[in-house]
Amino acid sequence: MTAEEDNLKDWMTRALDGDAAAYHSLLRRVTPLLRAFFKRRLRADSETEDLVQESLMALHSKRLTFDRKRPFTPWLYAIARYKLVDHFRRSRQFVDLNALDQEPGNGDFESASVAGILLTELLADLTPKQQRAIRATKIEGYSIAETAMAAGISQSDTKMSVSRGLKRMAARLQGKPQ
Amino acid sequence: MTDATIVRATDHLIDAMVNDLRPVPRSAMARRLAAGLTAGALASAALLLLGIGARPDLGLVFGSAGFWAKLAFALATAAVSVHAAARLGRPDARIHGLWLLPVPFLLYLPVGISELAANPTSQWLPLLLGQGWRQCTWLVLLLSLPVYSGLWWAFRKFAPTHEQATGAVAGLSSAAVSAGIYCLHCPTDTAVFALVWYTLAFGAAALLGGLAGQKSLRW
Repeated sequence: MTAEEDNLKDWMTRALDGDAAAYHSLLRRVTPLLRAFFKRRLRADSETEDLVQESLMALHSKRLTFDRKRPFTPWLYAIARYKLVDHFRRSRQFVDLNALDQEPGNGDFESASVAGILLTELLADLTPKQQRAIRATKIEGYSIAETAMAAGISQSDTKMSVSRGLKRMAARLQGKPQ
Repeated sequence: MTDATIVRATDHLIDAMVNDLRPVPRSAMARRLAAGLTAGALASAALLLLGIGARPDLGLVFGSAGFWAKLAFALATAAVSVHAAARLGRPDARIHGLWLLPVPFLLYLPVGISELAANPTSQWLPLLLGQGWRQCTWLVLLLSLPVYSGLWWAFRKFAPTHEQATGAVAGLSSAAVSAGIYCLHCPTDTAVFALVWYTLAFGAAALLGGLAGQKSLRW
């Protein structure tokens, strides 16, 4: 989880308890994020600002749907994405929703933080051994041999942990119940 | 309007939103859902009792396992589908966990099979048709309308991003609740009967709810 996410979530939680100053900080910070999100996906700037305002209003009127036990960023962008799709629907433009999700972000805060949160959730589901093996080989870039040495287990054991862990993560991503 | 004025409008909007801020209790969503559901269920029960009345032997069937099994099937379906619908009310909901929906049906299915096994083939049709198979599905569907309206009222404040799935699960919820209410009237307590005609109503309500939700649940 990023520090940005922690800040946003903290403000949101306090806003839900009625803290106006926290709410103001939240909206001030969220507005440029939304603007960047829409600007990247729309041509006209006036459309961008319309959608920023619509998303802000939805954030306000739908704030009861925020679950304090879950991260803020995916909730925010789910609203923004919905408003974007709705905009395309209304203006009868056709858009490939898959492409919308897969669009490569260039230093994109949304995809980076949502991916980070997703990765944390997925990793949390694995055994500690699998977590260590995947972190070391796939995220930190160590070799199988180095990872095995550091963990004090055999190389085949490490390989097994990586492949079983990845398989489990893939299954969860596809929404299979465990 | 120039860009600067539009951006200034956004600033005004933010100020207005901050001024309008009221605390939101943790259970706000659950409370609203419960309110809509209760109002809908009460309206539906009133419709049943005033329209066609309870079954005359209602006092006697409280000792019958068949009655309770049928009621449990309806209420368990209501519980899993209301739970699923509640989750779909959040914008970041993903459509999974819907595999729970047919579980009450699958648990009730062996009861129906054992009824068939315990009776000669010639009795299967009477088991299936019971008393009032012609009206059962229709009445459950009709009684589900007030419940669906109550759920729809609750969902207007929610933020479902999968409108069709949400509408379908809300439709299923409302038919399952109304089937529970219809148990007060339904004179047939066999599992074969409920498994077919109640489930038919559930399916139809899910289909109609999905169609209705597609447009009416947008926000």
